[in-house]
Amino acid sequence: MLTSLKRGVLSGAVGGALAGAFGYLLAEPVMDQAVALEAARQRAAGEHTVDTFSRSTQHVGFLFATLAVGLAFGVLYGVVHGLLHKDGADPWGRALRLAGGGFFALALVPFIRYPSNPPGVGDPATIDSRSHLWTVTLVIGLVGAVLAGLVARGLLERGVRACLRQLAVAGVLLGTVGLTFVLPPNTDEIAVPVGLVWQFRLLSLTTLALLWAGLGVTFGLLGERAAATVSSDPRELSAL
Amino acid sequence: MSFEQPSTQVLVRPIAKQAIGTLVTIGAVILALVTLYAVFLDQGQLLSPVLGKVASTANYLHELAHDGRHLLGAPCH
Repeated sequence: MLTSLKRGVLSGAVGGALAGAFGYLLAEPVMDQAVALEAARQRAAGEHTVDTFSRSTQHVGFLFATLAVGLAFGVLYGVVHGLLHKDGADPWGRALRLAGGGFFALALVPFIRYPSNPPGVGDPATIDSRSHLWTVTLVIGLVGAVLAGLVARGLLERGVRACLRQLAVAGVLLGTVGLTFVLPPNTDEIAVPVGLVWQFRLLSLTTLALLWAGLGVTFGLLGERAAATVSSDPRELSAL
Repeated sequence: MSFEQPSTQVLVRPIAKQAIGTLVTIGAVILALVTLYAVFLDQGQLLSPVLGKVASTANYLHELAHDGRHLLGAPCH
């Protein structure tokens, strides 16, 4: 378990750093633009707001936030991987599948139901209900991903062909996405230009994909390296 | 007596090691969940026991993680 946890922490740091670097270089300029628009609108409306932190502090905060989120996901990922897989078989495939499940449950499902919005969108009065609904999408995503994993394993054990297994998993995943649409829609007004909104949303999804890809790839490579060490040097078997 | 000592040592060591492993794992999971809460959901709750009411009005954690929160898809004001 501790081996898996350590690999998870390292992989999460890589994923978080990758997402942070990408977001810092490409998404921060878009967010700065959105914040400038929001500030201009507030000035025009005569509203007076006090910012807790300057934009440059928030840029640094962004890097801390992505690294912290990467590390936290890495810890949870490492523990789940350690609980699921006691032997070292197929480290690359398993690592990527679990990361894919994490991306699906905790990034893609919430994103499809409640697409992320740039700064300046979002009514402070509805933050609590929006947070609750968003959390529900995470739970639905997690349940769906676990179910997909169980279906895949169950069908594999019964010797069902790969094409049918994969279609069954795809069906479960689609059903999961569909289920989130029983939740009420986000009714907040979007007063930011639509081009800016969608540029932000695509960058947002790419950042999340990079985080999970960095995590899964690093974890898979660490597993592959350990497996290669074991097979080339049988003396180290006992050490693991 | 003398031949009992080595056998208890052999037994105790792996159990202690396993217990430490479990504790470290549980501690890491709790820390990870608190971190995710702080970045994605906190509206001053985590700091209010220390800072009092200013924690929710200034919303330090939310504002510091503001951009990450937006870009990683969590709801924001």
